[in-house]
Amino acid sequence: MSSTAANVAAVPTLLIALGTLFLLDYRLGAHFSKTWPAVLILAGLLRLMGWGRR
Amino acid sequence: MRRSITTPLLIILLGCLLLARNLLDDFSVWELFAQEWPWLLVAAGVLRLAEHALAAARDEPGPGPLGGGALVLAFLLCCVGSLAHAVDRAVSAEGFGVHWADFGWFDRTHDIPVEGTWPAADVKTLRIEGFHGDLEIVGDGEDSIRLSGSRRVNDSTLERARAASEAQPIRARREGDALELRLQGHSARRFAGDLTVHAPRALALALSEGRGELRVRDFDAPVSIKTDGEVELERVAGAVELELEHGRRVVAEGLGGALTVRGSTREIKVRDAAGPVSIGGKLFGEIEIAEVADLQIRDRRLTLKAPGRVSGQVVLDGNDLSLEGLDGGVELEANGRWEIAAKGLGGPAKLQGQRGSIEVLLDATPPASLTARLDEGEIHAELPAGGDYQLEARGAHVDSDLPDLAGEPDRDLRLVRGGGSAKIVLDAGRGRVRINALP
Repeated sequence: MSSTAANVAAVPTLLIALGTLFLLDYRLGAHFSKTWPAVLILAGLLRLMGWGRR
Repeated sequence: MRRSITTPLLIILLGCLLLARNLLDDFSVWELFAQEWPWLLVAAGVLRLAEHALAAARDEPGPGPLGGGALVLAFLLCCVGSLAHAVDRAVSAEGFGVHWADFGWFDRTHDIPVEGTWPAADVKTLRIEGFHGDLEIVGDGEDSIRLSGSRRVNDSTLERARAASEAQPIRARREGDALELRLQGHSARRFAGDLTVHAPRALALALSEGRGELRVRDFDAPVSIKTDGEVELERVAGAVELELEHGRRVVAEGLGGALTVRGSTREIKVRDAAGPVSIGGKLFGEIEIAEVADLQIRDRRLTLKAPGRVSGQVVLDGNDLSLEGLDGGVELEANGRWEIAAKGLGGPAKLQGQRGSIEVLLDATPPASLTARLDEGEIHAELPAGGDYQLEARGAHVDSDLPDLAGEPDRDLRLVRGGGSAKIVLDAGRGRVRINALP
């Protein structure tokens, strides 16, 4: 993925991930207090793909 | 750079929600937000990605990348949404408070074991107050009351969770011939539990201040429950009284006495009850009642009385009402628009509505009397071509394919078959009546 594409897609992807984790908490009982590090992992992956580079 | 469509769509969504709140009685924007707010994050992300994908496909400049401001807004939404969710879960008419620990994102959930045994030789009533989470109460032949299971405590460490639980022990208190168990302490902090109570089956039960899932089975004496959670009842011989503040689901099977349900709830399923069943209050969602006796349902939208045995079932779902196998007949008064279907009516039937439709299917021996009335809408009846009944049908338009009346549309139709002993009146007011002969 180019750094421009990563810049454009990173924040929306993080928003989707956050929303999904809260929905998993409310619907399936996968408590957000346990699953939140997945957002950090995703942010790291997006960074590796070029998020934040100009 | 193109402007994003996310903001206008959010404004439209907000308008739709507020309009729905103004037009629909049972619609709560607050409740919807508290339960569904994470979809806002998902939708915002998906919309933004879709906009970029569309712009790239058309080789046009897309909206600019979201920056730190969007993440700050998302964080604020998470805070407000989590608070709304915690409050929605915790608030009830009994005044449960909210504790910060209830929505601590970074806490862990610890299961802290709890247990207790109390003699029950001279106890006649068991009262349990303040149950959260899952509670199962099982009747048996022993002469003691035994509680076991665990409390779910959110806290940063196991030690802190254990200390928090021990600071608010389960308290037992004798009051005359009753034993009272309080599962919560005085603090605003509430512990959900996964508890089982075994008690002598002859004890009367009085359960209050509840939320979560409650299951009661194998009791012989009366049971009264006040909760805003889910209730499951199985094999209870005594009378049952349920008072639901914001009940989610009631399932009852194998009841030997009367069942009375009051308050508001989303779903009620009752099967196999020997005593009278009375359901009243604010009902929204699905009601399914089968194999009961002397059924009464009353809320602001309808009043239904089915005396005698209901060998079939009564199903109420939104504006659809289906009546089947009402051996002692039925009396129904419905307000607003309804789609009503009735068959297997064994006694006198009176179905009265304002708008919508009534569909009646009569077999070879119709009930002694049947009256179906609507102010406007359509009444559709399937009648035996032969038989023993007199029929009056009125409406702006009446048509029939009964053998000797086929093709004679009218506003007023009268007909006598055999001795005319059963009396059938179909009155659609400003609407239409359609009569078909049973094959």
